[in-house]
Amino acid sequence: MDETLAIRVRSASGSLPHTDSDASHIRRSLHDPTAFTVVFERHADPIHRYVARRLGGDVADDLTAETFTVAFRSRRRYEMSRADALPWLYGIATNLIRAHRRSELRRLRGRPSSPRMPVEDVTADRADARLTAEAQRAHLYDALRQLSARHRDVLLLYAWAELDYGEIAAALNIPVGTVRSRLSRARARLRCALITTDGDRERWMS
Amino acid sequence: MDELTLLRESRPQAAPMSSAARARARKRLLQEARRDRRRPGASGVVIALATLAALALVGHLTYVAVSQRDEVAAVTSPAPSSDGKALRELIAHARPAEVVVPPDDQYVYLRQKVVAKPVRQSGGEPRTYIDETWRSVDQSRPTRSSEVGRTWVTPPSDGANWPFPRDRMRELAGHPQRLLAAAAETGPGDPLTREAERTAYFTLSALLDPRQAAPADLRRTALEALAGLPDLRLRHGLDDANGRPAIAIRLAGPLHSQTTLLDPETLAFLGIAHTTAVGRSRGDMDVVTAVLEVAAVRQIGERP
Repeated sequence: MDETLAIRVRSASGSLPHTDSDASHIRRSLHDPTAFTVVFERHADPIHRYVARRLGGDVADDLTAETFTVAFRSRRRYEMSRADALPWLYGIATNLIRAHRRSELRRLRGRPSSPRMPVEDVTADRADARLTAEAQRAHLYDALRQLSARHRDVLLLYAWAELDYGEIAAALNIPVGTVRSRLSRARARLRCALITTDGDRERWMS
Repeated sequence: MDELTLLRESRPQAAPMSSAARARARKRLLQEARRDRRRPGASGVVIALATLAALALVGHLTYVAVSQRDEVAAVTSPAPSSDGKALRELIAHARPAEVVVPPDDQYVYLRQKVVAKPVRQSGGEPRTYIDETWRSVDQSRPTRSSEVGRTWVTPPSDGANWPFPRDRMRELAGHPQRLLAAAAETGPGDPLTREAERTAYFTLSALLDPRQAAPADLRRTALEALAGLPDLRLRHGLDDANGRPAIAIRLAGPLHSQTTLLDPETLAFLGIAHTTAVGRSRGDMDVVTAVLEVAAVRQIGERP
């Protein structure tokens, strides 16, 4: 397709492409409010997944609903040139997550479960590897907990929600340069925590 | 392994949103939507009354009431582009298209093919989807849509039909200037700003989509109104997702609009084209659609 004809429509990160942009449905919803349900149907799953990872499943149900309610109320201010609404929704969800900061810190202290190796794969070597991985993960969550909220937001939008720099900037309404610097600083702190706590710099850096 | 990889691999497990939670969230959103509709500031009637009152204050009320409504409603737009003139030529010589317009209380059924091709070779394999839609013509009943494999139901619209109620569609047919003003959401005599032009393009191109079930003469009127947009661009030599030759129209400019694909001979709607980013790992995709079948049916789930 000719580049001049190609219309760039940002779609859900990792999700399937849409045949109509979110902006078109948001614009429609200014006349027909129920049209906003299309945006909900498209993006409820990634938003729920993101919130659940940060705050747990129980809070995620309510907070996802709240995210879309807030989005609906503020849709008149939506920048219609942004075809994909997902970064905007992540931004709203992130703002709502901040009100649950203590819950998030408690959750990180409790080290929420992540995907594990199947039981049949647990040989002695793999068991060692798992222990190492578990220890690293524990240090990782400790480091995440010690990050400031703004650094944690940028880092988790990048690593867990898989937004790119521009999308994070749009989500948090900050310049792309700020995203880069916050991400760089957050990564450095994580790296530092892992090296320090691991006590084996060479193994970590290899 | 670096810290970012470890962080990604250590993502906490997240159970999918349950259907009960999804239903609760959807219900909450719909309640909010209904409240919004009842809010006086959002009411079209109130806006219309306010507009009329303002016009009365400046002495235009009598003028509005006269029969020359086309001139009153017309926006002040610059001259059409050369592409707009070319589109007018095509409209003048177009063969009549077969148009499916079910009765207001029925459904328009549409089946379409969607092809998503990676822009770069590394972006993965092309994917093809078949989507189906059952759209309530007057939007008094639920509409069911499937989109690249996912299905959902949109509730009835409670009368605030988009883009226009059925009666309004019939009124606007044959009046491209009035339709342009209505689609641009501008006041009488207002200049056609870039934003208003974008709004108009969006609504007018939507009227060409068979899912809107616009009357045949309104589709032609929408094309004539589109031809009057100063930033309209027209291009020959493209194909829709089914390999049919098409002409493409879109709006020029730095902001994005959807490309609409039309049959070169009848100017019937064939599909749309756009480029979509589907995440960093998979890269951008060129998405092209093709309408495969349109029919009038009586209920959701019925196929011709």
